[in-house]
Amino acid sequence: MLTSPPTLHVRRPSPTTAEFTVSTRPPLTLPLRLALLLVFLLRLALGASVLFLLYTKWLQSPYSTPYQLPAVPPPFFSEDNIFYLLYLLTQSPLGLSAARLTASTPTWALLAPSLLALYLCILRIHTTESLLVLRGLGIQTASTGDTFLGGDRTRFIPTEKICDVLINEAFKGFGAPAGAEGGGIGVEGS
Amino acid sequence: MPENDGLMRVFWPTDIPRSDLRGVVVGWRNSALDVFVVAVLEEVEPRNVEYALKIGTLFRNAPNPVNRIYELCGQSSMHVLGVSNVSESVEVDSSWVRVTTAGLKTPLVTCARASSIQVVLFERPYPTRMQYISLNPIALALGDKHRESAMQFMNGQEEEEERQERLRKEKKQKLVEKIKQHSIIKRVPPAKEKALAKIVNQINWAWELEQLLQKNVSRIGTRPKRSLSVSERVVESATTARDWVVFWAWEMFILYILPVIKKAFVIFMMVHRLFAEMFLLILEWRLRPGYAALKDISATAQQVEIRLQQFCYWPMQYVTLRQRKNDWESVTTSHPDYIRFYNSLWLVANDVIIGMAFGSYIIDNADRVAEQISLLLTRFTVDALQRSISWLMGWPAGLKLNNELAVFLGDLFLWVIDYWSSCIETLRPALPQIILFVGFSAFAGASMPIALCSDLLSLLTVHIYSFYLASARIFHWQLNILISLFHLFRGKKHNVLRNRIDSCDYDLDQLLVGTILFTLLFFLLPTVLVFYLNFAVARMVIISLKAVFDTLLSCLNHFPLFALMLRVKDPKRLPGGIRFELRDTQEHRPATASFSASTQPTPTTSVIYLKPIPLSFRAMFHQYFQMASRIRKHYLSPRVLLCLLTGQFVPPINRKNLYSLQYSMLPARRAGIMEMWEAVHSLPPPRRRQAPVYIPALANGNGKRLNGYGGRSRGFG
Repeated sequence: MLTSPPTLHVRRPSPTTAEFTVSTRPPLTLPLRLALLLVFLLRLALGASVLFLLYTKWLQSPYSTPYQLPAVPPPFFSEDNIFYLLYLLTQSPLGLSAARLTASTPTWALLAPSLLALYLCILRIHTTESLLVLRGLGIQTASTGDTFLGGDRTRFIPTEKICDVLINEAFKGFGAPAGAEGGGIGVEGS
Repeated sequence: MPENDGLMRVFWPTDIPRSDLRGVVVGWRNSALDVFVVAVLEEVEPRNVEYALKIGTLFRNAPNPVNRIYELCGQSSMHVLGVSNVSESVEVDSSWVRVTTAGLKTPLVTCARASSIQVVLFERPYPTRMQYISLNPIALALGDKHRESAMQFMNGQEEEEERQERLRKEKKQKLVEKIKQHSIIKRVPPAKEKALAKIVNQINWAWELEQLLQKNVSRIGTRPKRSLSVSERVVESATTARDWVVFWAWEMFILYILPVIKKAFVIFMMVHRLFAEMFLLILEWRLRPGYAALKDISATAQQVEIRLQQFCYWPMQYVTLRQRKNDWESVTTSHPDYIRFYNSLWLVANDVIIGMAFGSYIIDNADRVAEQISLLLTRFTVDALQRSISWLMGWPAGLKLNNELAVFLGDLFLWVIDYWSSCIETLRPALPQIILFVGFSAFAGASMPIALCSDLLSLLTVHIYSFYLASARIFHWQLNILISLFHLFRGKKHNVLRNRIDSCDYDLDQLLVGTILFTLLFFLLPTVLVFYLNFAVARMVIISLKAVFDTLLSCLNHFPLFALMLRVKDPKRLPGGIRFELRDTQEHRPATASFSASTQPTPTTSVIYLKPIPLSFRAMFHQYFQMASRIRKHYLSPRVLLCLLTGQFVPPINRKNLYSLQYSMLPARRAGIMEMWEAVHSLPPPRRRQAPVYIPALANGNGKRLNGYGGRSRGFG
């Protein structure tokens, strides 16, 4: 529901410039927006809870220093307040049950699934690839990265360097499905 | 295709000041319909601007030669490209553009000759902050050319992996040539397509040129400007009296004190350079060409060599960087040099800082460290070996070995170990002194004790190395004999001349003796094998320990620290290429319609944004990835496994892999002493500051004021 089969979208503001975008993102309608927001919130919650689990595990290790409870609560917008709130969270029923859970699991058993969960949190849902053809300048390709951390992978090929453009079609079953065409661009001296 | 296909390309800086006033667009005309906008000069007549460009009024008071601009931007002169914010009724040249910037996010460009327009917007890099853009990623390492020659310079033969890499590259090149032959139409690229490299330079120059033009705009035409009145002049000279005193003191310092300091420093440096040359000659001395030099054998010698080479290279780098200051800021060729220079300086400083902490710890705890190390030595290089050999002598893991041979081999090795342990015992009293020496060497950088440790490790485990050699040799012989006896057993033999297996008629006694020997040797093989495996494993552990030391060393010597910092601080200083983005043009279509409803239809316009992309982190660590892949190819190859299994000598980690990293930071050939002397003396004299107050001539209508900051706005570092 969140993704759609790859669809082609063409922008051509003038005859000499065209951008072809293939994306797995369906058009943004209100239900889709709500769903994406929900997924985002879920991921945020998952990421935060994994980090919190790791924090409780850290508190149990001999390297951490126990938190000294201040006499008066620190001001709201301060660095101390973050630790104060964290302390309150660890003392809540939720925090105590998390501490029980982490105390009973060895570090490696906790670390591997948490890293996996964190990776899932930063994984992109949609893939978008685009090809921008500019007459007189060259060809610009761009594709989104796998995770939110990595930026777009881009490559600009000046017209001068292009030997030939080769378009390759893939077959699936008895037809050529949309989006299965691959293009190859011969580049001089690379 | 004709030159004029109706496509107009306009490069427009987004950050030039924009106003509703009418103005003249000035810039480069790369070809008829390919223009590059540098500046919009306001409230001037196009005719006057053209005249001023022709006679060079606009470049008056340029801090550096103007010809350099034309040379690097690839054009012989600047042109008036059009007018801005002028009503349609005014007649202009048909090749000129009309630009409307008033109240629009992106400028609206029209041209009588163009049928479609690409507006390429870009943000100008600031040359004073050393920002620039480039088509290719910035090279943090010195070029490949240097490195290849360095490889040949080091020793003639090349490694297996390098040969394969070279072959692959050649193959790819051949493929590209073949593709070129397949292209059917030989098309001559028009000027517009070839201009990209020039345009990149023009973008890099755009900011500085605009500043210069705007500074000189007031000289165009007759624009009356009131000169200062007498009272204003009095106020000005009063406020600048302090500046005068500072200026005078500075002059005195420059004239009398600075030359003395400079001379002393240069002499000190030359003496240092002489000593460096001497040491380098010792380190590089080879008994015969092709033999290993001292630096190839010992990590310490190599570390010393790297530092000395760096010291020899710094003055040359500094001179290059100083020469940059006598040129326009927009010349970008030496920016990678700048990064390389400060990276190596910073790494050395870091190394010394870490080394001091490390060294002071070792010196304070020399006795305890010595005790620990001697404990480790006896435990791992003597006791563990003895225990494992005794274990092998008495049927290890239930394997029924040949008792007599196992006892013989075990005793042999145990004797040598006994002798070695007595050697270590005599060394023990000197150990604290050695540790102290290592500790003091840390003040020359943390890499020094690491290199010393690596060397000490190979020295103190020399017995394991020799055991490994001996047992590998025995095992290898036995294996070879077994193979040839096996051929005999089958009635065949190895024909050396043709390098193949031929059948052979043996006599009966030959066959009998051979078979008996084969059986004998075959039953003795496991005993030899376990001893060989024992030492091979020990040897592999030592090799991997040394690999860890070498990795630490390469991190301390070549980590791209400065580049990483720049990447965080100002990514535009580390260009990794460019990218184009298409912008939606919908937003200003209505404005178009309202603006020129009656006259000619506006050409179709696409708005493209040119963005610099910063260097990727992967590209920054490219050298490390290369090194890791080479080491992986070297040690995790089937060849090494085969060597291990057949008892042939496994070549140790070759220092050349690290050399390739090292030579990417240093030139292949270091500059000679005389060259350095000349370079140091070729430095231009420091630029004299201009007197803080310009005393104006008598006021005569268009009196000009200098702003008194002639050469002071430079010098960013």
